[in-house]
Amino acid sequence: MMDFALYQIIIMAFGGILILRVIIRFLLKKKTLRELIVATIIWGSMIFLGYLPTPLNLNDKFSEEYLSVITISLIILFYSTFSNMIKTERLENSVTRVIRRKAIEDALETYDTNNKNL
Amino acid sequence: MKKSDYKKIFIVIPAYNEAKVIASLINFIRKEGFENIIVVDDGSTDNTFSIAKNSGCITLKHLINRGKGAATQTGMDMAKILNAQAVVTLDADGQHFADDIFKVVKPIIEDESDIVIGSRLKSNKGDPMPKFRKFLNILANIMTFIFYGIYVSDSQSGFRGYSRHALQTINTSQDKYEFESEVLHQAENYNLKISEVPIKVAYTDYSRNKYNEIKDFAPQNIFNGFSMFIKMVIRSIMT
Repeated sequence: MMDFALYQIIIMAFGGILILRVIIRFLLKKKTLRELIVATIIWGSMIFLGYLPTPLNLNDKFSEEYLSVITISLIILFYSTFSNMIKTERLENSVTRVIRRKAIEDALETYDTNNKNL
Repeated sequence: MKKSDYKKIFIVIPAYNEAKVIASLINFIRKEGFENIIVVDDGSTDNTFSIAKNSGCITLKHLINRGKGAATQTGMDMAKILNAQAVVTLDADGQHFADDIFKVVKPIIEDESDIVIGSRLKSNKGDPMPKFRKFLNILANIMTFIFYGIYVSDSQSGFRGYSRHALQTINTSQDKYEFESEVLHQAENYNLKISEVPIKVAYTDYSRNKYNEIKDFAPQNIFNGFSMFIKMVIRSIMT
C-alpha cells in the first residue's frame, strides 16, 4: 500500500468532498450532466495532483506537518476567496437589478407623461 | 418582410460614452426603416443620453455603469414592456452595419428562430477580424461550449435578434460580457431555436481605441477574456 503524506490526504479528501457535493447537486437536479463532468474533471485533477509523489524531500516529521499546515491554509484561502467572489457577484447583481428597475421606471414615467404615442 | 412588420421590431443599443457616434448610428438605423430604437445609457460621463434623447429615441439611463450585459437586458425588458415582437441588439461603437438588421431579424419574423446571432466570423464582407481578436473569440466559443454546453461560431457577438418568446424566457444575471454566453446557456436550457447569419463588421479607429480604453467593454482585451474564463470556472465549481 502506498504511503501518503498528510498534506496529500488533505488534498485528496477535499477534492473528494467537492466531487461528492457536485454529485449530490446533480442527483437533486441542480446541476446538469455537463456541469457534473466539468466539475469532476477540475476537482479530479486536484485529487490526481495530490496523489502524485511529493517533489520535496520529506524526510522528517516536522517538514511534513509544516507542509500540511500550508496546504490546509491554501485550501481555506482559495475556498473562502472563491466563496466571497460568488457572494460579491450576487451583491453586484442585486445592485444591478435596482439600477435597471429604476431606469425602466424613469423611462416609463417620462413616456407616460410626455410621449403618449408610445 | 412587410413594412408593417418593422413597427413590431425594436432595436436595442447599450451605450457607454458613445456621444461621438451614437447620433450617426441612430440615423443609419432610421434610414433602414426601423423607428423603434431603445438606447440604454449605461452610466456615461459624456452626453450620450441627451444626444440619444434629442434624436427621438426611447432612452433609458443607468445611474451608474453596470456593464454591457446589464444595459442590454434593461433594453430588452423595456422592449418587452412596449410589446415588441422582435428585438435586435447591436453595439453602439459603430462596428455593426444597420443594413444587416434585416438579415438578423428575418428568421425571427418568419418564425424559424428564437435567437439569431450575427456572426462576424461567417462573413467575407466588411473588415476582416484582427487575428488576435479572432483567436480570443474562438477561445471564448470553446469556453462557452465547455461551461454552457452550446457551440456557435461567434459566441461574443453583440449583434443579435430575439423573438418575443425569447424575450419572455431569457432573464440573465451577468452584467458584463459573460451576458452573451449566458443568453446561449439559457437558450439551450429552454430549448430556444438558435441560428446564425453572417454580418459585416467595420473595425474603425474609434472602435479599436474604445476597446483599449474601457476594460468593461472589451472582451477582446486579454485581461477581460482571462477574467471571464476564471469567473466561469469558479461559478461552475462553486455554485
